Amino acid sequence: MVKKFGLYTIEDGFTIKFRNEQISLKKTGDDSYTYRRDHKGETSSKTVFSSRKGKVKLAIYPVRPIQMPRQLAHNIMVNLESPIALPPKSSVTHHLTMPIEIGVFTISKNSNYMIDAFSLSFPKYGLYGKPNMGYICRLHNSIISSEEKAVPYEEAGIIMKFQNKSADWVTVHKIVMDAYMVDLYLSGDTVYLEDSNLLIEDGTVASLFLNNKPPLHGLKEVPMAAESVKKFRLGFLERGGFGVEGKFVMEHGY
Amino acid sequence: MDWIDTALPGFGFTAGQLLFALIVIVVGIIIGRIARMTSGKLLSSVMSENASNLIQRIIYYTTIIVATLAALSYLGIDFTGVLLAGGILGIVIGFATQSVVANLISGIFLQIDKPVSIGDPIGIIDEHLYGVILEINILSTSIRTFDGVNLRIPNEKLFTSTIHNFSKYVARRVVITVGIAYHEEMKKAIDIILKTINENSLVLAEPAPLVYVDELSDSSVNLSIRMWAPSSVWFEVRTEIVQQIKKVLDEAGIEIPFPQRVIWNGKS
Repeated sequence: MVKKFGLYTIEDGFTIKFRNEQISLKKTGDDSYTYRRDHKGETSSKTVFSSRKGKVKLAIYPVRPIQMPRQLAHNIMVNLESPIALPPKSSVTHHLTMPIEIGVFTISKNSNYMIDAFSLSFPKYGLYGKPNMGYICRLHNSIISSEEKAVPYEEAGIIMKFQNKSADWVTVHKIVMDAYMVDLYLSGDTVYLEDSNLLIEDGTVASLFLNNKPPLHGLKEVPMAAESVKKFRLGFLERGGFGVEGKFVMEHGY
Repeated sequence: MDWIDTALPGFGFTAGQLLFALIVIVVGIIIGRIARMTSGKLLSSVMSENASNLIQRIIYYTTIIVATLAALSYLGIDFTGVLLAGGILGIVIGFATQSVVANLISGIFLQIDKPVSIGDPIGIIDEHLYGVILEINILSTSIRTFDGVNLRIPNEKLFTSTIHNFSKYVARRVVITVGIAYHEEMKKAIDIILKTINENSLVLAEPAPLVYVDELSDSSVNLSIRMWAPSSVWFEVRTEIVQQIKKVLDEAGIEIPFPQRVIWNGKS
């Protein structure tokens, strides 16, 4: 499989396809390009931008799933297709999946700019908690397996350690995380969520920890993560920013 | 420096006393400003900008008034008469400014109770007014109505009205009623509508949408369609879904009947 995530230096034209989404960059002048994204015959995005000395640097990387169809929510709720029952004082590791989007960035010396983001999956949202005190979340149904089964370019793999420190059996139906805290890692074009664990200390509340390190050896952090949440920067910084360990307390059930 | 002890003609105090009194007032103003700045820094993290500004102004002017009264008292001005006159004047002013004070107090309570915040789309039911909160001031609140008119409403009226805040919660329910003809297959219509709803990205999958037969009405079998949407896109979802439902029911050949009445003419 040809690697698609990465940096591209474009001098003339460029086309790349992610299933039904085709991205193209067409030179329209000495220093200008037109960006297009075609989806099943419909052009859904068009941007004209200038370049330096006729060259354009483009980066295509996975980003957090908070851009499509619009920026409605920054939480992700992963519903487990089969709930996981955990005995008291036990832990188990499972492979899950979460949605990702694909971000297209222009690269310059001083800053990078996300010109487009799209999703290969159909985005749906759900409410975690109650309307008066809950969170709107990007919804995803995940299979549970003992090995990596994420759909390429559509999902990221999660290697999640479930820990039940309570004295009772618990059943986990869902995990919820704040996308601002999420770091993504790459192995080729396979995307992974950072090292994570779900801790249940009593019967009502679960805490999801994002540990700011790759879940496996040899993975590289996705470099464009910061640019993908620039529009949310204020709220993001209030939550601690990048490069910190994240914790999401699931107080409305798990 | 003899002028300091020189009595001012027509006044019962010296130039030095007057100078000192002025210094007291200036110091009062400076202290008031410092108190305003300090309270602003302290309050900005715990309350809204408007509430913080209001309290800062109260602190500032109270300090200046206290300093002025202290200075005048130092000059030997007897306040007994002033207080008596002030009492009577206060009653008069109290009556005259009743609505102003009521608005001021309501403004403070609006800041504390926070039924609305800047940017909230609201409806004031008693007044039949709908719009977005632009500004909450000491005496009044500015609202941009949905038809683009700027409206200033006294705080008392706002505070004592029934307010619908459309964005207080993250999600709102959309309720639509669609009538289908009596001869149509209800389950087929329900399935088509549910499919349409689920294909809309902005309709929340949780809580799950619900479509059910609500009423066997005069002219139609009424289906109630209930779904949740993020508050920020509620109106968009509602308008989109109504249009989509009409389209898919038309495509499926399911009739949405007009109100009709069968009239029997008895044989003469």
